[in-house]
Amino acid sequence: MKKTLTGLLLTAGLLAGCQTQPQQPVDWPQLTIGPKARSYLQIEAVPEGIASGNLLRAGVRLYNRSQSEQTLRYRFSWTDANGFELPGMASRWEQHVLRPGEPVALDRVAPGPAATSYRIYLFDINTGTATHTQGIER
Amino acid sequence: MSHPKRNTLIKALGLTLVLGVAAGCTPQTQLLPSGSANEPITMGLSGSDFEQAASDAVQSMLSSGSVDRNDGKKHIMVVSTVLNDTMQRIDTDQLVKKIRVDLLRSGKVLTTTAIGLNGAEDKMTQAYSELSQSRKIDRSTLVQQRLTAPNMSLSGKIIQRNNRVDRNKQLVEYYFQLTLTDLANGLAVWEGETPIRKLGSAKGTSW
Repeated sequence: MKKTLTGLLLTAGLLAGCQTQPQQPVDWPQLTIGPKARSYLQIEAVPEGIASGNLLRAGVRLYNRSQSEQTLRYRFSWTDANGFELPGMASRWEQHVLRPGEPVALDRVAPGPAATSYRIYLFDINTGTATHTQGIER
Repeated sequence: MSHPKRNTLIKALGLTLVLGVAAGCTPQTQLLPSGSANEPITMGLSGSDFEQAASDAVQSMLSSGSVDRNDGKKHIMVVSTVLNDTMQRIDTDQLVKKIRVDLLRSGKVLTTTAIGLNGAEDKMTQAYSELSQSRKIDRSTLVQQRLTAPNMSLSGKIIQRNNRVDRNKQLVEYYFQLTLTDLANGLAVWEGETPIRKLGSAKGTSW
């Protein structure tokens, strides 16, 4: 019985370790975080508001909880009421070096007034290539 | 016994081999997807540096509220001078165009192409006004031009500073400085600076 339980726990642990798909944290559904980035990112808040009268503004406050410097790749994706992604420089992939424990705030203003929702993709630089439009970590 | 045919064949084979090796060693041309993680970084200014500077400027303008209007109208911007004070040959439109595109998308600012320090950017505006002189034109199709005067001006400067760090390394700093001026009173309503710093080999050149 004990051996079976240990085996089950080991298998579950291995499966969790092999997880490669980006996930949406339960607390922050607007975020998509890659597996490696998830291992060192601590999300503190996902503030949102309005800028310049009618433009959606969103951000994320986070820090690197690991003991070493990490490089984060991130992107804000803006969509209109019909679910179409809006183009613009506010949607481009960017990088940020995260020193251990240093708080970082990333925020962007939507490219236009048609933006009604957003998603923030947070991936580690070394995890793989993410395409501009898909935001899928491979 | 001489072997002229065999010698020719050996030479031809040798040449083919050399050409084959040379072709195999030539780096292949790659298409870089936008925003790829392994984008090469150069000591000179590249497209991603202009994107960074333009994105910073637009985000700062929009989040500061400096391009807001509470009368429902849009600002009309004219592009003034953006000086290239770097050691590189740069077309500053690489920066300005990106800013214009994003400001247009924001719905806050329109850019006039009929007015500029060196005349109209789009010469057709002037040419159109001369169409009424032509007998080939159906005058009923002409519309009377009423050009909109700009109320804001975008100007700026790109600066480069090279510093030797040690025998092997150099630091190249670029500063993208931009100003948005209210033409009604000549006051700068927004100013921004994006520094881009690159550390690399002292042997490389940044121009």
